[in-house]
Amino acid sequence: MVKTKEALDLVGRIKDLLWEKKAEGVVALDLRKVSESLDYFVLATATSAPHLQALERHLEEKLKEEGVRPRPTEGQSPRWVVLDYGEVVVHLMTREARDYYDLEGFWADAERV
Amino acid sequence: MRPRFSFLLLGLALFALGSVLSWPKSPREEGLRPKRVGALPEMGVVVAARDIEYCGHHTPCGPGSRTDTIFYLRLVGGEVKGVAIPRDLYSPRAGGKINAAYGRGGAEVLKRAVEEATGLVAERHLILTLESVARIIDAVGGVEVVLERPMRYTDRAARLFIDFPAGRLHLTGEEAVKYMRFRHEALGDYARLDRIKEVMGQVLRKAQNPATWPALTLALRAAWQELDTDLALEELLPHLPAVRGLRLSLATLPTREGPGTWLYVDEEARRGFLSAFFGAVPPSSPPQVAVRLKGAPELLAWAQAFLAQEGIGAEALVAEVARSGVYTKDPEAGAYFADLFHLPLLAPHGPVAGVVVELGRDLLQ
Repeated sequence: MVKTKEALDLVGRIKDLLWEKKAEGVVALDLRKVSESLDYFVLATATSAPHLQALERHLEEKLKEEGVRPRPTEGQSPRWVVLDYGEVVVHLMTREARDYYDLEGFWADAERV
Repeated sequence: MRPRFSFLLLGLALFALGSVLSWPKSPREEGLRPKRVGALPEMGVVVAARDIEYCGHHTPCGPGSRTDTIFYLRLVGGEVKGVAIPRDLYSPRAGGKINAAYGRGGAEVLKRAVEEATGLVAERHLILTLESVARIIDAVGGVEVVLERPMRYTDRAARLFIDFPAGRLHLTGEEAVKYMRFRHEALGDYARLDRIKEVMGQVLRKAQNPATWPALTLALRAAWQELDTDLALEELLPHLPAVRGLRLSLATLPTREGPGTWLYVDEEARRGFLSAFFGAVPPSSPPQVAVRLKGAPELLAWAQAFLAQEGIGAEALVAEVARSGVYTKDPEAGAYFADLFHLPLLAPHGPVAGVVVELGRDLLQ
């Protein structure tokens, strides 16, 4: 879990880590003005199921080394993985899942950071 | 961390999702393109859960045709209002108790029986199995309850063994189903319906957390394989984020007792209830009712200060609270405080003096 003042730094770090592993369509949304309870989403597309797992593993391992661990979640889908870092929630999705659930479309008013 | 009071709300993801849309089935998910709709359509959904079927003595063998749990849910804009229907209600349409309606004519007869009981239009149906309910509860991480006294019941024929100690408990999906099936207490089936409302409130609130969405979508896909419904999952799932904005109000249909275990619709009470419950609009100024707050000391202090800003005095009572919600028999006052605290309105069957606002630690998560 991160503190609010650290959230933007974490968003930047997550984006860097995802780019390192060739994630596509990496986008961060600042939801604070459009949601009363959400802060930041980082969205990224994986090109395949193995790529999705690789992105998840890379992100978890690198951030764990820096002392940042996600909150436990109940289970993951082969098409959609969520890593919940408190104020920053990361959505890793296959292309089909990203199009299908269209989180960016739902929060279209959110500022990109 | 920012205050998170406003992302509380609203339960059974499946129920909520089931009430979100009414589009026809689509052949394949892959062929779909998400189409954002504007306002969610107004619609009535009958949600029921099938009990256990017996193939022989002490041999439960899967979902049966009796539905002991029946709710009528009405989606109005971003709000779900639901009415629990007691299983022992006499249904002329079913020719017996309403819990037999599904077995006598499937979902269509059940919908007509619910319409007859409530006087409300039921366009859609979602008939669950107990396994699917458990699966969905597990997908959101289970639920928490606080038992004032131990809950124990053994039905060897049904292979139902309930043994929960008093106190705060975290229940898995399977355990939560047992908790919701238990009715061996003074208020019997009414208390069971109140427990179901409580679980629905918790599950929908948890389903509003995006971290639960991948697991929830998997659970829903599995559950949909065994459901009887005319709601297409492929059209529902793209609207998952809309669950975040849903507000939930649940109550129980007023009934009067008949001979034996039979219940009848209390026509006069029903008219007043439906008009007040479905027509309730939060008043612009605080309603003149007694307000009691229950919960942990730090939450009580916050809530008292919050209410004082609105010019509302409230009695505070330190208590163990598992789930946050607004409890009252007064729909208008309930709507006001549910809106103020962004909490579900869970009108219990039993008497409540004024308005009780229960504040659990879930508010701080």
